[in-house]
Amino acid sequence: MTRGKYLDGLTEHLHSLSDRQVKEIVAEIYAHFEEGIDAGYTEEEIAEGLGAPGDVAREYLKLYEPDRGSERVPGDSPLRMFGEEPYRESWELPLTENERLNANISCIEVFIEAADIDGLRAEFDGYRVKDAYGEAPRIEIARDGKGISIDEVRPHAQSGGWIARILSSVPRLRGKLKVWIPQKIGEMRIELKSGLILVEGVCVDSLRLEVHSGKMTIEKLSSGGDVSIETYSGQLFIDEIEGERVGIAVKSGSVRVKSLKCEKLAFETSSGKLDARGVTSRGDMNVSVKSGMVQLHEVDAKTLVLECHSGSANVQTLAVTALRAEVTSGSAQLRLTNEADLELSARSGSMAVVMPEDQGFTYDADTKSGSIQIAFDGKREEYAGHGHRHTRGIVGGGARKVKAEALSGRIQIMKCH
Amino acid sequence: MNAQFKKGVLELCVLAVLMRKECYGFELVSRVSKSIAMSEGTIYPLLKRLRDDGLLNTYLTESTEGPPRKYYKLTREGVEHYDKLFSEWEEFVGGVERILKGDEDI
Repeated sequence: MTRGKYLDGLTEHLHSLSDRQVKEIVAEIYAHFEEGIDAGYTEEEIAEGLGAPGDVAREYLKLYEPDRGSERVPGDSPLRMFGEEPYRESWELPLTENERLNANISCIEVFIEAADIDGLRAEFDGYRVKDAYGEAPRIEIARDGKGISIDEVRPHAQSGGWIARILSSVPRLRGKLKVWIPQKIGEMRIELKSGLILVEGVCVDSLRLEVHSGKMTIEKLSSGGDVSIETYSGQLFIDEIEGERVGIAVKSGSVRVKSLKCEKLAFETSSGKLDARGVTSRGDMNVSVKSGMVQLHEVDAKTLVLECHSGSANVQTLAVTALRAEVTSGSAQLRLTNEADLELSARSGSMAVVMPEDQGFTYDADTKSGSIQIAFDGKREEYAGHGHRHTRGIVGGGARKVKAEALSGRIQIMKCH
Repeated sequence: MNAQFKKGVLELCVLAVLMRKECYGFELVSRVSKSIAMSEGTIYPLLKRLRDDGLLNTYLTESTEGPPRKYYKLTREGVEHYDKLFSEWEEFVGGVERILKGDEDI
């Protein structure tokens, strides 16, 4: 057998492991071939010496599943890879819709997925986290017969729900922890100091995520209630999230959002970065930037309030009925796709608003030493007094109201071409 | 030979080779398979387990032919583990020998 064939065969037998685990193993055996060739052997001789790829794979699989490595059924789903008895029977944590999952996770890669069952289950690097539960259930990792206790799952007195504290007591342990939670749970709260979290396909009543410096990816998450996401210097990637009131706070980290639907949205960053595309808020949307940077595309909300201190904001394809934008010393660019009431203010910074050509509005502009330019034709009257210059005018039907104030800053209202 | 028994012996042999010399994978496998008939490939999962258990360390060294090589080295725990396994082995072999020689009553 050639090296290529041998490694292919090995990979095939290892399909139940993660890509990373398979890569490590294949690299090991690949190196064995390299070293053998250097010692003057042929690929065929080396392959023969190694023994059947299936035998080698089986030994590896036993490492990841000491109990059942040799009995795993090929093609079994990850939910059922721990033996012949169906997972549902072995895992029935009495979590109901109103209960709470609270995980405190540190220094680890964590994957949280919803399962279409009503239990909680966890797995660490291919090892099943033991399913002992009852009065005071514990989550434990069985590894080579030695159990590593990873804290516990216990009832939470105040909420009447459950608290899963995972890995906080073994911060040096590194690896991948997978947690399957019931597809429908009540409140979910996850705190991550560092490491990586992936939350996938989860439906909750409310969600609270706190990431200190780690990385978090959230995919397909829906919450019937509030969603609160906070990060200090971490990185967040959100793909498809739905909730009632959604709050995202970033200190110096970064957040990337693709598809966010909610009733109300608040975004806040200090020196961080937000890049969002496809944001729909049936109600109000608040964006607050200190010195950071915000980029929004395809925003659809009832109203948008944008506060930008010294940072920068760029909002493209914005559909709102009312917009209030304030810039202190920073800069903002907004491109509106429909008619809206505007309230714009630039202290010393600059703001540019692009509106549809057929927009009709009455405006009221006031500046001290700055400038306000309105690139729409219409009747206008200007007067000055008390060190201020004041302009009032009407454009088209004049249905919408525009108010612009620039102390020493600059505001431009432009036509979309 | 009983598979479980052979596995234990294999572990002892791997540790013994590494007690004498730090080896890269192919070298280690060759040293063991020269004396014991076995599927060489199964040594690698064993090495991984020993490493996960903290009995072995690995380090990379530039090689004159081709890419850097991964060398295996016993940790302090590995040496202790070898000593323990070795004395168990001596005791075991001693017992077997007494039985084979027919002087188990002594």
